[in-house]
Amino acid sequence: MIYYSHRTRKALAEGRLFLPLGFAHYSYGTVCRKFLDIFEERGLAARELTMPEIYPSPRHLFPPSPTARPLHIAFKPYEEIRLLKGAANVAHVAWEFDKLPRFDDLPGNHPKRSNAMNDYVHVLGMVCEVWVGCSYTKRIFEAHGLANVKVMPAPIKGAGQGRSFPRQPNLAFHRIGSLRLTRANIAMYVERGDPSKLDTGTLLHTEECSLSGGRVFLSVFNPGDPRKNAAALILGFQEFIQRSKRNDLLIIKLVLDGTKGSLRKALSEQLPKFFDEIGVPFGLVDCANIMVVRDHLSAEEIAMLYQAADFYVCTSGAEGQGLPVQEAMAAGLVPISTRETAMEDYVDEENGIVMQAASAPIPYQVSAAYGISGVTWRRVGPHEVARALAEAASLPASDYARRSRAAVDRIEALYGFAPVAARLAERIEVLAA
Amino acid sequence: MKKPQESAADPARLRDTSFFVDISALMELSWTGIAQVTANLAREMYRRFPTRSYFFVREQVVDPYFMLAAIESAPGAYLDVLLQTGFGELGRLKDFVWREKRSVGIFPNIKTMHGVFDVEMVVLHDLSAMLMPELHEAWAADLHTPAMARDTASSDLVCCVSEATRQDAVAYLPFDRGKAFVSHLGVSVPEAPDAPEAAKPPYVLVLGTVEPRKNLRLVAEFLSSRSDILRDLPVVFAGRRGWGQQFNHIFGRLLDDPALRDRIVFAGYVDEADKWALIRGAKFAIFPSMFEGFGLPVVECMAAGCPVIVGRNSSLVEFGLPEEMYFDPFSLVDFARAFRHINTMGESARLALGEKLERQAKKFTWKAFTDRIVQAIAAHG
Repeated sequence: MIYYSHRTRKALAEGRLFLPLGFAHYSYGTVCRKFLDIFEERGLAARELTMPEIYPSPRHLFPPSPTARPLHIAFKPYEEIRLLKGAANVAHVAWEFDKLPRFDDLPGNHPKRSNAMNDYVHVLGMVCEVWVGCSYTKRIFEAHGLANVKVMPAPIKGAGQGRSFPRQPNLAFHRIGSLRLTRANIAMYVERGDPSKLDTGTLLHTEECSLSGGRVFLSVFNPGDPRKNAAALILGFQEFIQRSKRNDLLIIKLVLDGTKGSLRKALSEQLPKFFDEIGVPFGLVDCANIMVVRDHLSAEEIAMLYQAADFYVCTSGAEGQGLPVQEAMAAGLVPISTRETAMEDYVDEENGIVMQAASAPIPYQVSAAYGISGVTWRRVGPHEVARALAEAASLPASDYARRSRAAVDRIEALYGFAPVAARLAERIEVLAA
Repeated sequence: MKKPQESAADPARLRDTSFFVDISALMELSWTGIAQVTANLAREMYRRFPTRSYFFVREQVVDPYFMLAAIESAPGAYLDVLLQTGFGELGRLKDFVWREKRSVGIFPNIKTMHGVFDVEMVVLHDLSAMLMPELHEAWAADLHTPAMARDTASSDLVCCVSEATRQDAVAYLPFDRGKAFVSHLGVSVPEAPDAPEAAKPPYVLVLGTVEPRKNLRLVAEFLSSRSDILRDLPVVFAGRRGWGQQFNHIFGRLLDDPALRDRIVFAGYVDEADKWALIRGAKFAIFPSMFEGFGLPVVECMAAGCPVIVGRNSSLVEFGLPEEMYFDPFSLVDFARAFRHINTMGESARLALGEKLERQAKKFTWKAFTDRIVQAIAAHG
């Protein structure tokens, strides 16, 4: 029996099973579900523990644990990791920066010091093993003296086939609403009346682009997440289109907070803030070739989105695993990405187009939120994004097909059910002993 | 008031030691767990070391006579008023601490000062504010969470009120685990009234403050699905109004039913006398809490011979109740099983069980709690 816990304190307080997309830490639930898939596929019995910390031992569970020292995996942010006493506890966590918050590095009166659980090195030292999504995180943890770290990425289900140009237009796509990111549309959406009553404008239609030999680029991210580097993506694509005069499309699927977030907030607050940080007014954004998808999409619609696109653009330089990139690669999309943090494990020139990133200090807000100082991350700039997009658009069909096939193969080899299940089986055996 | 005599049996190293007990918790208007612990610890320390025990609130040392009077007069603002008006103050803390050869500060709750005494000991009740902040009011989590790390780090000894609390402290708090020891809390049962009360119809008693951690929702869900039980057996809830959804909300569906509303009684906060009367009169009790540092109401029920079904979690398993009297606080099925077990038990079996629990509860005394603390202080270099 494998026990697991994933509900964040917020989810527990609100009586939710999983937090909706866009909430802080919702991705821990996503990773948990991917492991549940693999447990089910491999016939491993798994049971959720709402609050593992309340039980004195595994035999006090209901029903009692069949083994004296079962495995308990916590898919949770660090400060919320709780132990099942007597079990082999594992924390599955993500981390994307080159330093871990620890009390020794904080000023004496820093608010993070008020809770021992904010000392991540202390917290990760409590568990038998720490599982992470990439070798970058493992390296950082080990540099902080943690010796119990294993790379155990979330599995990616069902890698597809490689793709080639020209792609067939997908007419079923018409029903997904989108907003073209022109200056007029942004102004209309932000300023006119109650935006929740406005439709997102036009429907997604990629066939006109495909039929004219254009390429479709896709990116999926939370517009409030500073790691995603949204300003570089939008400016870089705009620069690329204006220079190349091509009829290519960028589809941005925004992962919006199910209750609080809105496209209006993204366009009026979140994205302009990131533009400010790099010194560019958001008012410069005016590109009918950028289509923003706001609505929640079903798994089938997400699959459709992948089928409609040629390339997946990842401007983030800080990922714990990079599930959207990996899922896109599994569907045959060629990634245009940095090779920073998690992406160093699976993106290279064989299966994608690599963008060069430069070192930059993380913004104060991020530093303050995590309680870390003196931390840098790797950032790609708009010009580099434009260069990479141009390189991608000019790829010959055979080269594209080769990279697409390689992307599928890489994901299958590293993150498919079989390799992850083999890693899992090995760790379960060791931990049970 | 008869002055207690000091015991000659205490280790030699304690002869030069003076004890300073923080009794701030006695200022609480309605006493629950921590105020009870403070009152009983203070009383025991005074009984044992009458000439070398001091009791303080912030920087004021309280005359033991008034401290005992405050305990006897029980919850309320008695001590607060006394100290504000200057009555009851023996002097300033500084004038006592630094004249003693070896001063030991004992903090039955959050430490109100650090590094003042030669040896400092804090009583750690539980880590719930830190581990499950969503089950606390935000101010309480913000108050207790930093205190846990700070108090355990600045103390020479950490008295955990249960093995569960000790294990949590050792697992989650970054402090020297050698400081931690366990001393279970105690219970003092008042004499039963000489004249037996008139026989009352049987009822079930549920004890606990109305707050999410106490898990009254589980009882509400069960009674909603088995309202037939209420027709035979009324349920009495006794506990302070806390925070979060309150009684009328949690039991709204049942209270809306004219046939059932009289079968559910919310007594609110009850004083000591009423509490013991309620426990003694109950057919059995339910303590559905999700997490406890100790669980005084359970031992109180045991000590009064009242069978009690209890959540199978945290410190509550340390009471050694029969396995079938425990239930998982997240499982309605398991709760229903435990309820059925106790409710269908024959009268003689239930009485025998009550007697057995009463015997088991005898090891939980305030004297034993205090003895263990004194031993730890004596053993501390």
